[in-house]
Amino acid sequence: MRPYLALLAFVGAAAVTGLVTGPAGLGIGDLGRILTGGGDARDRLILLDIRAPRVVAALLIGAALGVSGGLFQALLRNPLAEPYLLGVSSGAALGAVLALVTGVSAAGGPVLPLAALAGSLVAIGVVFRVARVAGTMDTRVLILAGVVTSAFLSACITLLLVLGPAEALRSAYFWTLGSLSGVSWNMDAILAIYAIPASLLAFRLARDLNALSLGEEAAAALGTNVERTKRSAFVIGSLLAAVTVAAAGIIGFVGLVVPHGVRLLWGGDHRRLLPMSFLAGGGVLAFADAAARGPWGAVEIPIGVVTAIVGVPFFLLLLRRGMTR
Amino acid sequence: MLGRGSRFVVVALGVCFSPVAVPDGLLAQIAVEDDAGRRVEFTEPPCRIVSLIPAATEIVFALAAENCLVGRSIYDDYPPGVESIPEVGQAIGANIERVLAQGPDLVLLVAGSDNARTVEQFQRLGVPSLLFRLNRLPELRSTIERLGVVLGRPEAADSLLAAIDGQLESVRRRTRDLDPVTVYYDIAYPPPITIGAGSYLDALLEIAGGRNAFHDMSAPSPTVNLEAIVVRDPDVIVYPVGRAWGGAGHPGDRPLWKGLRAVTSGNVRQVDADLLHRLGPRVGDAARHLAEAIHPELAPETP
Amino acid sequence: MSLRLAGASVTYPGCTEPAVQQVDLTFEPGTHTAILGPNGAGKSTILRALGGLMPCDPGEAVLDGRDARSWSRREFARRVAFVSSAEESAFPVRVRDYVALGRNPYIDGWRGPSGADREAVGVALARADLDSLEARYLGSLSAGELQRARIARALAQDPDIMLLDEPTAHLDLGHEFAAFALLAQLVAQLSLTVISVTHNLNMASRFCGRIVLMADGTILADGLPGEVLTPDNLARAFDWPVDTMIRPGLGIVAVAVSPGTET
Repeated sequence: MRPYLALLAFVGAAAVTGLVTGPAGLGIGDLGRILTGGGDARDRLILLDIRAPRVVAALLIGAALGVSGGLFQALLRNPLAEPYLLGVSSGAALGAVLALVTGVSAAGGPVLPLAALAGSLVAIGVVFRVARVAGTMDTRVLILAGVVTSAFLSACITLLLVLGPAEALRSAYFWTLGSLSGVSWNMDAILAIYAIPASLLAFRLARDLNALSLGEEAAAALGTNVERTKRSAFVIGSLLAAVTVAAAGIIGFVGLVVPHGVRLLWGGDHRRLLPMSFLAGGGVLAFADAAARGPWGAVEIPIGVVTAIVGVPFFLLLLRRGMTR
Repeated sequence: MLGRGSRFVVVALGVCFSPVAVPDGLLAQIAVEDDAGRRVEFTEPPCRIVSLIPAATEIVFALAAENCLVGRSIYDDYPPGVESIPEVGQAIGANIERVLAQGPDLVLLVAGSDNARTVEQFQRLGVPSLLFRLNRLPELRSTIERLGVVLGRPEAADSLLAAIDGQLESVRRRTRDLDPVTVYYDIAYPPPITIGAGSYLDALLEIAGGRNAFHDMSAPSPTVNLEAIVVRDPDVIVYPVGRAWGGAGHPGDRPLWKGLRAVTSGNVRQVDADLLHRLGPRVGDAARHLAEAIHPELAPETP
Repeated sequence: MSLRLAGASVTYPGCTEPAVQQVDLTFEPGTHTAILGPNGAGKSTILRALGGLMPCDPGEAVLDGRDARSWSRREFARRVAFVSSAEESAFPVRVRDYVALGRNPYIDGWRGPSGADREAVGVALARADLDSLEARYLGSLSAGELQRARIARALAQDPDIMLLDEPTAHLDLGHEFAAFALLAQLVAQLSLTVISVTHNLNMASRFCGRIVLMADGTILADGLPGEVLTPDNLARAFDWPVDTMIRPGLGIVAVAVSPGTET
């Protein structure tokens, strides 16, 4: 129980931090006033229409990435696995760049996220198909297929950017860095509809994922339906990652560090690992979003940069602690 | 020039130059120092010039020396008549062969690390080149002056500068008595990118009787966030659109921007990117255009 | 609870020849059977066919009178436990959590482990003499302790039948003896059916009441150690001249004869 309470407190602190961070200088007192119906129109606009949706998006996206990372680490039986390993990010990037280069996305609206989502789904489909050997999913082939597909898609992206207009280059660059700016409540609703049920389904896989960590044969001997478990982990993990990339671009490192960190701190039992990664991921990304916006005045740092710069030292610290086992 | 300017690492020293003219008419020696700190000398004004700087092409035309142009970049689109000059490719990372095919005795290039290798190659091949930086108004002045020296037309350069000064002064006069407006210049979205004090557009805005909402940012084109825009509450939003500049759509169409005062009061103006995003001889027109965009009460003047 | 193979042939995917041909084997409760034979004889294949981990075509594995395929995997796992000597966890796991995985076949969906589950884990740990090691990480155990942990994991499944693939590989003499002794104890106390694939002819003859000798996918001999482990059978199976001695208290000890030495 205690770890969950700590994580909930963490998430709460992250949310509050996100709500009080920003150039407009609204503090906790203002927070209380606005939430109870007061405050002037400008403050309300900033808090309720600009900051709050971003905080919620960060919580949902971080949660989705945490669960997705946990699923991939279990599927590939490798603590270095992360949601973007199997082509999700390059597929999404290709979709987005295509939209940017052809100018289709200039119309605004959902075109860019939909293009990114479509791209990632195609990439996932290709990798899934390639890894189906004799009717089963071979995880070694999966890794290879994912890495190779990503490389191919990245090359396509570079080609498009070289041949395309200059603005596409800049827009694509910023898109790949990941950003929660411009997130609206609509986007949050879509994220919630995808991320929460998918995560709940993932939690159900916990026991079978525990068995899978002993190897496919041992898991089958323990009564697990191995093929169905692998397929479910792959599909749910990929969809969670794809939705986050479509919504906010590529936010790296969270899907790798959060489940791994949770494992180092509280053990690898997926019945705890997955829900805890959900909470921890959300909190981490909400803090990262606040850091991306906060102390820099008007400038905004891409959130992928924050997660990497903060994530790496923290992760190395955890690794050292884990090495003493 | 705008976007590229913000990417360059500033390497060169000052913008001092020293024209040396031997008045006896013996060997008229021309010497000029470019913005990479290189000193280049000519025995007589070069007249087979490849210009890979769109603004420099305009300057050469303005100095009535367009007959000396044998090549231009694909981005050079002004003034009319420029199409008759053979196009030799990209302005950055030029195609050396195509440039050389024109047999130039001078190549004009944008200063910056992107062109470092190109410059090296021209040097090795013995082709003189001059690098110019055109990110701020003073740099435009010194570029016009130096090109005037190089082309052997210092008086034409002086009168061009005087004309530009006159246009800018005229804009200042027209807007002097008007209330200054805070302006948000919408370079790109998403994420929101605007202009900072490092961009000449910031100076143009001031001349045009406006105040850049993000004047306190020193970078030429900083990325900001919507909240900061809301806090600074600009009076007017201008968004550039042009033939070569796609733009980011009408800011008022963005869901969260609808609450901005500039949007609700209908003060969102489209401006001409082709005119504004090149710091060149038309800067006077650019300032006037900007002034008329942000001060609708100004009656438009025919240039 | 009986387990048998009926006319079973098993072919690995991509192979033209079956690894195991038309095998009939029946196993009764309270016995420890060793399956011996050279590499590639089909020993592990038989074990996996028995465990429902490899399909038989033609033929079938039959558990308690029903085709193994008609059992749900979870029901099957409550009766039959399978342990391979290579079983390891991809992530760090404590011994007690590892052993607790053996309760998977009993725990459903959202439910957590019940009191009965926790008790079963405790009993399994005690039987495998792991009480002092339960909080340790699996990766920090010695080979012998790790093997006992694997056996405990299988015990936690509360099975009637245990299938062990080379349970004493990588173990030294003393630990090997201890492992076989533990298995013998469990067979006696719990009336388990244990079927082990092993390479150690001596241990098998000492501890197992029945030997199945295999070669080339078929059964050469099946019966008491004394009947099966004859120099003739062994030479035929291993393609190597083998002499045997009977030592009281040690069972049948097989001695390999090098070529050129007179017996």
